[in-house]
Amino acid sequence: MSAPALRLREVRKSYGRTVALAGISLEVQPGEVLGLLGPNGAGKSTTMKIAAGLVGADSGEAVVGGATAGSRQARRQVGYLGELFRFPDWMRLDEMLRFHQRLAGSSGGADERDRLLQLAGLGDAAVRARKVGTFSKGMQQRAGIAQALIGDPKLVLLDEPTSALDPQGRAEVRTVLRGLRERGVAVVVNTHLLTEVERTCDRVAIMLEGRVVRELALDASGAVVGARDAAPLLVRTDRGEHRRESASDDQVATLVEELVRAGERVHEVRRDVPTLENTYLSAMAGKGSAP
Amino acid sequence: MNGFLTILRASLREHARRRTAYVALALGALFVALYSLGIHFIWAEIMRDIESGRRGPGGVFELKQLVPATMFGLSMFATWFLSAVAATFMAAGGIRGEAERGILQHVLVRPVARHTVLVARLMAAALLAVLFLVVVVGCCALATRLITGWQPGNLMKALLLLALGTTGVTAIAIAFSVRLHGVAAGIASLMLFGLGLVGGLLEQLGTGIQVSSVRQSGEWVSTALPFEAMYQAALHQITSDIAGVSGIVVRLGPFGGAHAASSILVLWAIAWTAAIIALAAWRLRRRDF
Repeated sequence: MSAPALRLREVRKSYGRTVALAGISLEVQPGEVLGLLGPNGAGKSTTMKIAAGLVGADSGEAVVGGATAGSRQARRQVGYLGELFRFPDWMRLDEMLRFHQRLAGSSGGADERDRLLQLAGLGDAAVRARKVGTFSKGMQQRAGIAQALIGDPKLVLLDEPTSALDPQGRAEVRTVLRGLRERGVAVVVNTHLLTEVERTCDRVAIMLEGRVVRELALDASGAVVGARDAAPLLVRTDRGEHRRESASDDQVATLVEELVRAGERVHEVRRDVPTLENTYLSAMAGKGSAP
Repeated sequence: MNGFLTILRASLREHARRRTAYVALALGALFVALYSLGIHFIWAEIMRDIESGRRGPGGVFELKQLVPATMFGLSMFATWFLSAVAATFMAAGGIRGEAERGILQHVLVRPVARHTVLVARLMAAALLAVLFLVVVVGCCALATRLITGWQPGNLMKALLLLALGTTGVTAIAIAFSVRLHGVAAGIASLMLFGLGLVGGLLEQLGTGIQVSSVRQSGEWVSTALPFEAMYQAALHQITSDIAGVSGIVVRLGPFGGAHAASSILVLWAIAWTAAIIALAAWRLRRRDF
């Protein structure tokens, strides 16, 4: 296995007396999309900023692709879109991207700008010639995503990347994220939109009060891996309801066969698979303890 | 170097797009026009008085140097003051102001050293302010020469000293901008600038009334904030070749309280400016965004 794109070990950060991170540990592998979930003030943005080198950790280890986070070598590998951001309103879109290409040392030139703007849905020549200050929030967010992908970063950090986007924009961002995953780029997404997480993330870290309280793997359908088998099973027959606390697919089939052999007529077989939202809320309610 | 030039170019372009540079140059042109008009009328009146015999021949020589030197010194002070204020406005929002607007973070994430960002933004503000200074003072010198025939002694040296003073004020503004909001950084910088000017005046006053405590207080302030000393040194450069009674009168006037700039003073001003920038860079390196 290659080195993780991002590794955080026991990272702590306080702003004065406020503890933002109380010893967080995380790893993100190349080609993995990690979603950070948690209430406001949980430390998600601080985690992103430490990885991006904008904030220094008080203690612990933060490493990006083998280099200490914040070092020039680490920043060469990072693409970042902040939560609250603006680009210089006097710059034209194409000019803004060229500015970031130069800072990133990207040799992609006009081809790279074309590709990224197409990807972000801003490929129209008239839009490219417009000043960024005239853009709507959604267009600025698209421009921000294009900016974050300049120089083919190995780690992309997106803080609330779809908060201002319409459903079509969100779908386009999902396509972008899938494309990044296929190219082996590691992505960390901070969002409150659970449906977006279910649709795009391979793994989720739920944060609360500066700690990761749950880490969950998601399957291709966005369900929590292992949650289906662990989910309570309910079988309703003409003689009543039968409940099992957990059951594999084979056990479900065996149970139904047994009930039919016993002469019961099966009306419904249902699993109470917890959604990501249920899992998240239970993590919040139990302050992180497993449901 | 690439990062430095990229940010420097972008900062200069920003001032051009926001029309800061054009407004400064347009108002500078207005200033030169008013100055030229003023010195024209003053000079015409003096010439009329001399021709009509209302001013004695003993005063003619003095007036022909005293008036243009004082007028030019006045214009130089006004221009230097304006350039320092303009530099402060351009630099005061350079770091924290940009960060609070959410602009700086995407630059700092790039593989460019933070001190590069700081120095590039400082240089952009200082370059424009110095350009304003050079153009306006140069035009005033030209107008003075064309109207009165008098020309400053060593204008190039004077401009270099003034440019150093302006860069010092810009360094203060950008240093404050690391820590303070744009408005607060601007106010703090202008207050220090004012303190430096008061220090220079105190020094002159103390010398004039021969009170050593006042003179020493002024000297301490001038040493701690050496940009005002650069202005005094620049004045010396333009008036040092006025000899005799005229020279004494010019140097006694409010715009003639000049000191020659020793190499140590100039080196101190350069080192002081570099130290302010280094301190700001150190603070910026440790700052969270």
